[in-house]
Amino acid sequence: MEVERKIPFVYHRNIEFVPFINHASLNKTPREWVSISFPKEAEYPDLSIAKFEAVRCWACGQCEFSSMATWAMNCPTATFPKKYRQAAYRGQGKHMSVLGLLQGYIDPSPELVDIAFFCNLCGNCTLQCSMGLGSDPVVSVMALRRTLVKLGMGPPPAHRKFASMIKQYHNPYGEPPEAKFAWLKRKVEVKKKKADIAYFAGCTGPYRTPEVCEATTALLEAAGADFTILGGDEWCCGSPLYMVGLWEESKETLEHNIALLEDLGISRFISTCAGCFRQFYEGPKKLGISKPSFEVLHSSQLLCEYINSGRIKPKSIPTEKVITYHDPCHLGRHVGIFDDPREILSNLPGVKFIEFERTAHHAWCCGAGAGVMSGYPELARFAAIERLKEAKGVGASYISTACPFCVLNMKRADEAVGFGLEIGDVVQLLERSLR
Amino acid sequence: MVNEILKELEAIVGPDNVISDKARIFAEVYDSWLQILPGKPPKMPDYIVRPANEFEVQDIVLMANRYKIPIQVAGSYTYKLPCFSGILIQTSRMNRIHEVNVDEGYAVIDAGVTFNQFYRYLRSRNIDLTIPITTSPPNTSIVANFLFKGLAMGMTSMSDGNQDAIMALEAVLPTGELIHTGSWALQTASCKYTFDLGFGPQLTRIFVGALGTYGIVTKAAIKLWPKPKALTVKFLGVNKIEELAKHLPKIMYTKLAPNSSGGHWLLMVLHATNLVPYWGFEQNKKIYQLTDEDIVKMREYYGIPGNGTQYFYILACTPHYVSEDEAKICERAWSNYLSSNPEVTELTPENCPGVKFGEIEASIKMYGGIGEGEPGNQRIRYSGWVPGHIWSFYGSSGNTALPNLHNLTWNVGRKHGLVPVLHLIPMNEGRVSHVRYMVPIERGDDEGLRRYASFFSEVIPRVIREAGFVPARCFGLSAKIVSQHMDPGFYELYRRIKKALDPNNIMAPWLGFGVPFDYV
Repeated sequence: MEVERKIPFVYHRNIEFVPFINHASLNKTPREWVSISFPKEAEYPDLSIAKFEAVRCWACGQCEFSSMATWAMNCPTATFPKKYRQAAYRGQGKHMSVLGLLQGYIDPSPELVDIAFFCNLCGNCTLQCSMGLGSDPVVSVMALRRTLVKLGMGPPPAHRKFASMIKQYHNPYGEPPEAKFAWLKRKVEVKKKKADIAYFAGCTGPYRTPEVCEATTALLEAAGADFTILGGDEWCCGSPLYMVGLWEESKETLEHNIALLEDLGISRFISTCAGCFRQFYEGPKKLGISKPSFEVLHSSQLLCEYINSGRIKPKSIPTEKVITYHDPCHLGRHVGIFDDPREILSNLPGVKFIEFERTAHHAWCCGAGAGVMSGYPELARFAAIERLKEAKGVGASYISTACPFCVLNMKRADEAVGFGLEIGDVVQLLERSLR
Repeated sequence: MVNEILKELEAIVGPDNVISDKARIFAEVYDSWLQILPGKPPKMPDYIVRPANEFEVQDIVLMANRYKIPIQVAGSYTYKLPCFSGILIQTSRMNRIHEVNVDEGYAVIDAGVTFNQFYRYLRSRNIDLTIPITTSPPNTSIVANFLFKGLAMGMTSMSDGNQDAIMALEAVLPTGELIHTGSWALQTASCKYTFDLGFGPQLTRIFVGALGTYGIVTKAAIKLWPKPKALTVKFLGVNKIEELAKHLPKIMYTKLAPNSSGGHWLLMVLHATNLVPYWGFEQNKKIYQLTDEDIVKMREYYGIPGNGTQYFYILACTPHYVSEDEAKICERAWSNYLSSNPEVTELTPENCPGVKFGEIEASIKMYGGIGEGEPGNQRIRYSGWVPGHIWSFYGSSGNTALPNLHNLTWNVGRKHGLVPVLHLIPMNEGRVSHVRYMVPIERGDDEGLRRYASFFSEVIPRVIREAGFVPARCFGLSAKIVSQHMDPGFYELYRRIKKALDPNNIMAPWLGFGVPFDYV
């Protein structure tokens, strides 16, 4: 099992970043140079992966911004009023915590648990730093979480609770597994052998935003896709478990799902949930599982393909709403899929589209991910409200996204503040255009 | 008593704004630049406190006097002065922009307002004014930067040092009184925020460069300048440090290019000393294994002119405030200058093919507030902020003493296997040079770090004693050496002011001159 550098060396596509001089090895990472050793390395073996990242940090604090969105604050935890601009809660602080533990200057403590887990792992810090020092705070956060879990000090109680739910009910909400596809009104053969596509519904979609799942199956049907679902045997993908450092548990559930899918002999896996997609896309490598035999796609990728091949022909949507697109962190910064959902939107005739100020690689996180919605609901709500405010600021009245978890969190926030924004998945808009 | 102090602090600023646990204090103050050196334990305050306004600062100061515990003040604490104990006050919550006066060209801001915040404020209101651009990160405090003598000013800075941009201050004295300086002190003044010399001595100045030892500045009135309409940017090269020391101040003094900078060729690509570790990586050598021949090969690889390891550049920048037509006149002046000074070469893609001049020019314009992007956008920084370098020491030097300073630093560096790279910004219209050395090191490499430590402890005393260098940050080793050579009269004045203002010596007793050497 390993923590990998996740975020590619990428920039906002509209702003060309060019170093002032060409050099053949500018993108090489000289990890071999880190020969420094610290007194407590043997005590915290899981921190060794983060050592390389941590020693590179200059503590400049720029990881809390978006460099290309005119230096707007872009780290939800460091923007959160109670922790406003505290170093511990931006990427820099995670690196410093790693160094503090390794050097023996600090010890594991409840405050350190808070530092490690009060974070969305949205990856903004890693992206910002990738344009400079190239140190990856997400690696440090994951290493800290893993260390604290192994020491028995983490994860926090709310995370333990959803972990036990996943163990018992195979979903973090504690909902009955047999009711997972209760929303499904069309006839879909469950666990169909040799189907071309398996639609992995996830947990948030079926139990909390079934309209997203419903739209996805409608689109698959409209495209004439040969697809199946796993029914009650579909377990949680294990992404939330991985994010909170419960790697063994995450591995177990991912292995179950992969074995089931491989047994069916499907060719392609799709998920509308950015977290599930990321877990199937990257999880096997991170958790030491062999690469699945099937292709892993996000629903936006497949639907883009269907639009381009003419299998889906969107018609005009009768709406006056100005639509914007919120990049889910797990789909965007983590995996690098920014264009497909936008391409879907650009194929919807008559849609008025506007980008957020903090968008694409520099998108503001909705605040739901990495265990935050369950463990720190106040942070999840704060981050979502910030996003809603930004949507209003750019003049949007409909926030589209490509993840039911983002939909859920932003919807809840909108209900709380009463902005009256419409929030939905790109697949819902596309499905509406077929009616 | 510890609990009582904590309770009082929480009562003053609210529990969310006091940090008292070791983990979060450590994350806040740990200086990974230097404390990664083996055997250097961290210096940490006992509390970090984030007041929202000057009245909360007053309450904290009064409390500290009662308990006789030290206080240090910092901006957002991204750049770190050591704080050995007591209370660290961060100004990050004091972030109100009280007034921006377009007609009179000033702003009144809290001590914690950041460059980023201020630029965004001006942009969102279409205000076509700006402040001196520095190379500080955008999340740093404007007031803290200016009070720190403004030595980090950048190429398009429009003053002779950012401290000149401060026209009046509000501060809390070490005994808790709230005071105003400049014309701000006269309640009836019509030029409260725009004239520092209204009456009496210029007391604003005692807070400049004092690192918070004379009081805590809570607000400042700062100058605003118009954004230039156009910039003329020239890239020049000279073979010798003597020629750099002659021409760079001259073009600034004559106003041919009043906002210029220069340095060793390794910085010609703007902070790109990162190339040194990358070059070493390609050669399969650590930095300290690079020979002079390797450095020459590197220069040739990048297509930089010159001979040997030394070559110097000037980035000459002339702002035009009235119209773009001024640029044509400027071009003619440059043509005359270059024809009468043949030792100065204009660098172009033809004779210096390794550098992307267009990109540098675009970035300089961005810094000057022209074209796309935000002033202070870190496009420049980001090209250089990669692992493997460290700003080593800052300070000032007389122009004629520059060659001696550079040769000494370079030779000491090479002796330790390092490559000290000069960056130069003339100040006071070219009368004096602000000098910074950037030394590439391989962070995380034991041997490199040891060598850096040896270099630093040898070069600081020598440049002060042998090359007339004046360090900008008077604490630690620099303060120790400076104290040994200081005019006793100055020291006595300094000591008396400090004692008069701060009878309990609570304001960062580890900073300044004559501090107990436990702190060095």
